[in-house]
Amino acid sequence: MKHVVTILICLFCLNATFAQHHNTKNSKSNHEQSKSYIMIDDYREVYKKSPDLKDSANYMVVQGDTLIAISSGKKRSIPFEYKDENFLNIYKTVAFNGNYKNKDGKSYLKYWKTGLKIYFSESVSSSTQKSLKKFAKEISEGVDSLNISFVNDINKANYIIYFNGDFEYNPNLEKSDAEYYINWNGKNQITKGFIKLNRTVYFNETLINEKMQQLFLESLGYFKTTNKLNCNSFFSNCNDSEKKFGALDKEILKYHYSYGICKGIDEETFDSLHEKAKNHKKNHPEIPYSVVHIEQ
Amino acid sequence: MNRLLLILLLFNLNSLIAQKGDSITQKLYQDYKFEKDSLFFFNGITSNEFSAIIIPKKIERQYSYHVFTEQNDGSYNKLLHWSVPIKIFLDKSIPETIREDFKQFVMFLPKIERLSVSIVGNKNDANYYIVPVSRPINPTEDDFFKGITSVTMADDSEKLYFGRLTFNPNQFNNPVILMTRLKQFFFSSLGNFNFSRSLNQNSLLALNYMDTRTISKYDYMLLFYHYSLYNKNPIGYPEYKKLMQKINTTTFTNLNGRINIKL
Repeated sequence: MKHVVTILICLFCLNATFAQHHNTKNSKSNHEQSKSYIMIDDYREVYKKSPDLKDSANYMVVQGDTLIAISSGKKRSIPFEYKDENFLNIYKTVAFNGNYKNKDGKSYLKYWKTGLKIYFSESVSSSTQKSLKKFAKEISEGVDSLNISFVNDINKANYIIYFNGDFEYNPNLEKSDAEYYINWNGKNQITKGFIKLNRTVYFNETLINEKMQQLFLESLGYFKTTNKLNCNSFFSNCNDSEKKFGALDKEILKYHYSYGICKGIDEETFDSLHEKAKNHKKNHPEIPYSVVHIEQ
Repeated sequence: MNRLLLILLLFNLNSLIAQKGDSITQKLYQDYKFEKDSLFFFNGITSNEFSAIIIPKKIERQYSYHVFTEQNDGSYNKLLHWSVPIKIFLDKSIPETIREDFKQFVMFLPKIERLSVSIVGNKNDANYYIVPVSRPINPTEDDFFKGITSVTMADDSEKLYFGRLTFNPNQFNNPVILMTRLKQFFFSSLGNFNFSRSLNQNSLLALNYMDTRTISKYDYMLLFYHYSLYNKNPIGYPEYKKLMQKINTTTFTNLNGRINIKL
């Protein structure tokens, strides 16, 4: 029986070095084994506990380093998604929204881990609903882990769109004419969303639809618009030309929801991980580099 | 055969310094293209370069009074311009005489570069809505502001892209006063201009404006200079002061055309 055990170079999304073993079966073997190992210090950081070292099957020592076995079902390995400096800079401008900082003074990437289930209040016209549905389909097409659906039962929704004069679904938006509000958990995963518009101010369907699309897109990652991009981009802060969800807008959203990068991290970590990946590519272009997402 | 390939990458994350791109940080409002999976930016404007015309010194002070307002924190707003053609929809409930008077006013507004105003018949095509309401408006304020108010929306580049002018006809004893106020408030919303008590009464921005059915030279100049200072990167009060200082201390060969000034 032939065993090929390979340890690939990876980074995993909680900022630690990760090693992965693939036990490849030969033609005679009728079952497949797969074990993944993580450095002991990283294990402690990720799982916030010490590993069980009583059973030797739970770990191995390689060149003096203790590697701890983790369940393969808890991780997902994806090739790292490289991007050029121009793209990374514009992405960071949009995705690290400095309007909200954690207690540590840092901004973190925010994303929807679970799919969006959108409920429209009854006063939202069918043409406005149709317009947003079309937009949602357009922007999410081909985006890895972004799932958007629409529900008729408010109890099944995690995203509510409503107008001034409707039931006030989110008191934080009570005085808003046009705003979105999102909640996120400690892992920077967005869990709830709301959009509220005032039809007295946004007095026609065109204005309502355009504003709704803009707010909706921003709420997909707590994105911030920028003066670096021309006005036709949804991520631009100006409005003097018709918005088009262009190639760069799509690429930013795809990248944000790509499994090939780490999510929920701060800018410093983001930069470090990219530098690490870049160095790896330079020094070991023949060895694949992966991002491993570990479910805790 | 067992083969073990172990490559561990040991490094200190904190010792790594992120590379900062430069092309993206230098220009604003850039176009882009993708070539072989790489992103390139082109065009765009330089953040400290502004386009202007020479504003006579005697107008400069009055102009800045109309366009800048001190905020609570001591800072000032930036210049506000309409970046899209203004398409006005007059609510059908507005009496015909008032509608006609306002339409005439719009028709005879001076032609100003970068400013376009028209009346549209379909509310869905409009980005400016003039509508009567029944609720009292500013009942406790100065008489001038009673019964009428306008709201404009600007994007983050300080460009206006829609507005709404509401009035309560019951707060106007005389329809002539209402027609006058509609024109004044609309004119003000072309740049969020401040009204003044000390202006000649032929200016739409004067609190004691007397409707002459024509645009005064003062109002025309104000509008002309204002839209001459239209820059995609909006001009704030500090930039405005520096621009005027530079204009006043520089000898220009072209006194009538536009000039690009780097601060």
